[in-house]
Amino acid sequence: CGFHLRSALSLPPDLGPVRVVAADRYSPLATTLAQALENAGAEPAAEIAPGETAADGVAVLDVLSEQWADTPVSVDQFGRSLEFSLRYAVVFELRGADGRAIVPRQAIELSRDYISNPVNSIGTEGEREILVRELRREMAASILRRIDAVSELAVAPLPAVEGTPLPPSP
Amino acid sequence: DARSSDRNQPMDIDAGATDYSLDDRRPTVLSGNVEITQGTLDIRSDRAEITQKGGEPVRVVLSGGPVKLNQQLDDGSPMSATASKVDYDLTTEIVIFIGNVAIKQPRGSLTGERVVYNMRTGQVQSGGKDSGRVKMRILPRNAQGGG
Amino acid sequence: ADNEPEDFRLCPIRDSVPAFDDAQAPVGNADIRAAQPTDIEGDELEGQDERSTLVQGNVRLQRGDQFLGTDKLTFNSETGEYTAEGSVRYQDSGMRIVAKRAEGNQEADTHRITDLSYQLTERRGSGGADRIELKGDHGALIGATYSTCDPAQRVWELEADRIDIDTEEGLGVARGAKLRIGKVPVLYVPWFMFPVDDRRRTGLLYPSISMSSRNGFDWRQPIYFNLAPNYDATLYPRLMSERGVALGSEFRWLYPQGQGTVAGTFMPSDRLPENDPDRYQVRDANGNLVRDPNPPDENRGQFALNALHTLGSKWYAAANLGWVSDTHYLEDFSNSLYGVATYFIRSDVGAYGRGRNWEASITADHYQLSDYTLSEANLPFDRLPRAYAHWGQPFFDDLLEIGIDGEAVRFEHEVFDAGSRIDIKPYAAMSLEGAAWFVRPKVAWRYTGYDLEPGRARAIAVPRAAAALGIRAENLTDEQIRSFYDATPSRSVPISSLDMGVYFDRTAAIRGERYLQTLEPRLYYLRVPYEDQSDLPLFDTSPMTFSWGQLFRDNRYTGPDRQTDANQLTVALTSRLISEDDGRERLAASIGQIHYLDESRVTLDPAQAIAVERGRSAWVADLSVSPNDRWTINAAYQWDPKFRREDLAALRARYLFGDAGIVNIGYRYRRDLLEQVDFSFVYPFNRNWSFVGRYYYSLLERPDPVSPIEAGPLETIAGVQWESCCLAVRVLGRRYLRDRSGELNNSLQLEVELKGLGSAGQKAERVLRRAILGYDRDDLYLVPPSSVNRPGVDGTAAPSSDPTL
Repeated sequence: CGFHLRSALSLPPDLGPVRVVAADRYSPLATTLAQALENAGAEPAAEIAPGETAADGVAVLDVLSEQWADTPVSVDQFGRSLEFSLRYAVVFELRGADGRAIVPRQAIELSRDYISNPVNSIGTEGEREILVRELRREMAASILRRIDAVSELAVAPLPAVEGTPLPPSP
Repeated sequence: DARSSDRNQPMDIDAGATDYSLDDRRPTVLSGNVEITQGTLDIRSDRAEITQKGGEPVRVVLSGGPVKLNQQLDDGSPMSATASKVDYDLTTEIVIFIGNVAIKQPRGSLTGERVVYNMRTGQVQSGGKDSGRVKMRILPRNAQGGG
Repeated sequence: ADNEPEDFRLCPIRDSVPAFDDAQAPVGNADIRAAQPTDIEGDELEGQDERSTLVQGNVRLQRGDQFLGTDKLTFNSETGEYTAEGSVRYQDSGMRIVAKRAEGNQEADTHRITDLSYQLTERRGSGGADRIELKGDHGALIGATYSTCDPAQRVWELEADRIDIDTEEGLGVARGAKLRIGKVPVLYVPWFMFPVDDRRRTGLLYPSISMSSRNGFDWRQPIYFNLAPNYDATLYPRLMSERGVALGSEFRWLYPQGQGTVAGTFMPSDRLPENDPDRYQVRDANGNLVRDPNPPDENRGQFALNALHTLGSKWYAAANLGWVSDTHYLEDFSNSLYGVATYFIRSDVGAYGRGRNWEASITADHYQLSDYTLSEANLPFDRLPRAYAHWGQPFFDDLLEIGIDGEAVRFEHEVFDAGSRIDIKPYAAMSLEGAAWFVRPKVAWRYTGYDLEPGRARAIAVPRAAAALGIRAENLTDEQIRSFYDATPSRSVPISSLDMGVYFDRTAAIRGERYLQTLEPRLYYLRVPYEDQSDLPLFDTSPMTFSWGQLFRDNRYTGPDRQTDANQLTVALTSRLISEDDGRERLAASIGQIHYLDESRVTLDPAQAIAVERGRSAWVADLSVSPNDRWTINAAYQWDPKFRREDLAALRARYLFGDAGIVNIGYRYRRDLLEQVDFSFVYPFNRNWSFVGRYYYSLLERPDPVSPIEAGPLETIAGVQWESCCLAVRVLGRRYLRDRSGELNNSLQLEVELKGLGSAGQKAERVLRRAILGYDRDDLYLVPPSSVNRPGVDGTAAPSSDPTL
């Protein structure tokens, strides 16, 4: 049915060295992404001191904003919160060395729901910490998937697709 | 207002060429960079027509490009004026400047197409019926020292 | 009180005093005027040398940023005195004026203009006045009106005996002000200050005025102190006619290494307990509810501190402290459902470090009870202190990783005896990866040891002895208990897991758009031998919420107090549709299940003997679809084949339309816990009218004698907003769970916002932003938030520090 083993996580052909920049300098997401890009064969660009903006024409994976929100999603009949939704949203873009956007600026929002029983909530904090770590790993993976999908287009020629015939282009 | 003491000073006139006339009906015409001085009053122009009455000059019409007039005011501050034509009626002591008139005083400057200046009262009147806009600039207090 | 810039987009371009086309651009300001020459121009000029000059006919006077146009101008250039009559037009860097007559003195730069109408130039605001006296950059309008409305549609107008406008300070002060909406005088304010431009400056911010049955007339007047470029403060004096006065304050600071906010509110005496004694009930000796003899009516308050300090490139310190004066505080001072929903306040302070292969933190946290329906016993244990470290060293370029996770904690609790615990988990993990597959074996050894206080050790020993010897706890002898007594229990157990997955891709074209479709089967095997853990305490451990993530975790519990025994295999499959032109994930569907090859017998409560998990777990299915940028749908479903019943069914759909319209639809069912529907929308009908609404309803029915639960609304909101160029009126009707008795509270909020003058009435937006997700697009993270907020300290978003809302 047309499925084939995935080819290597392909990066846009002329990407060159990549620097991961994050608004929050302590963001573990930036280090995870940098390592993942390295594993995918990208050449890490030189670190720049936080706050400086280097203009050495290097491709930049820019994590523009990271936001956490821990909002109650349901309350019991006494108005006490029962379930929380931990939401993690990142706005990012991948700019080529010439500043052109390779992956356009977009937002990814992931969320995990968890129960916090008002009467016995001793495990809530522990669960939250586990979810925070899992959401970070999941966010790094979904950012990389998007880079891969866009570069897949750049690399692969238009294959003939069985099954779903392409409608005539407008 | 103009220096009142100037008026009873001797007026000497110097010109390149003089077409002198004794007849009241025809004015004396001076031409070729005319210079008229009377006390601190100093007038330069290309041409001047002086009409007399009973041997007394009653009216001087200067023209040329442009007529320059300098004078020291009562308070010692200099006043200079230029215009394409100046009509000085000695009997009424009213001077009419006509044609891109510019009068400069330490206090400021005045420009216009037609300015009437009464030497005796110091009254200045300019503009009016189809004779263009009048512009006047008053320099700020501290910048008035310069001439 | 955040004062976002006013939104005047709905205003016609036409000004009430249109710009003078013959005037020079008002460049510069009052200070440099004196140094500028004065140019006068006119049709006719008559002057008695300097004493008095008359200029007539379309006269124009210009000096620096000042322009004066008039029919007739007489002035004395010696003294600078001037008078202007007939179609007087005056303009400077602060305002434009059209009047009949003006006089003044250029030297002294004083002017008096009579019978005028004016327009502020730096900011929307215009009106008329009997007289205006200008001195440099101060202007006093006598018998004046002020409004930001379009001249043709004067919806509101402020009439004042006198308005002083100081364009240099950017402030206007109105005295003896009467506020008229339409023809109706609405408010008389003896003294009232309002900004004339939008600089950050010490002074009053917009007051917020509201009425409610609980607080009566509620006036909150924030005063802002711009102390220095990097620190400022705001005071919130607040008067509640039914309850008394309160003072809120907030101090913010910023410095190269960090930033912080400290905020607090203090109310010396509160008459609410006197007005509504039934709110405060306690259980008397024999357990029935009776009025609280001394309700919290004095020295009530709240405190919050959030600070961040960087300690170098790898470490930073952070503190988030919170305190409330009594357990009724949140309910008595909050006005939204979610403000009421929190039941304890967590304070934490710590140092956090992170490097390439390591992560560590030294923290301390404490919980304060803030909900009177619970007791200290329901509070989690404080961790004073907690040291956590993770170190993972990769070898053979990430093929192998050897590392250790460690945590040492000293627990404390106001009610229960506690103790300390150390949990060490050295591990070795390999990650064999190709482009299309991964195999990640991991072996770890988990050692957890305790040093328990005697009371806690005994509390564990007694039920174990009773259960083991089949004797009732009361008649156990000390001897028997001692045989089960262990103050330093420990557990050490190996954990091995194997995570395997394969990725299949293909390109699919749907409706002409190219997608990358993935198929990702995954297996996860977990093997942990059984070890009896009934001698271990429970400090911070409870079952994890069963979810997709749970399929791939090596412990069914949230903390080290219990390590699940397992011989289980998870089978899962995920498929995604990723659009290839921008990489957006348009669909992600996954389904999975755990097969328990052996029963999993470790339980929280030793008395619970029955096996916890056997056979196959519930099916877990997750779906998230966003076909275009307008629709986002998330669904989660769990079905337990053993009992043939649903454990979870949740659906959330969000539709965005226009640039402000939004519809949220939600259904949540969790077995024995809740079944609720939530429908909310913001519908901008046209440029002026928009409607908001929410219907949040619980369907759960449980005819339980002790605490019966019936279906009923949790919160319903209906609101309409009419917004014009200079006025916004929001009417919001709400019924929400106000307090723990389950009694609903009706509140009708009317907010009249005079744009450019201040909003009178509870800030309805704040209520709506919490109730209707996405009311303010920032909440949807579609774009980087208007101000990228403080770095979330290990995942906790900074709580809003406005103390009094």
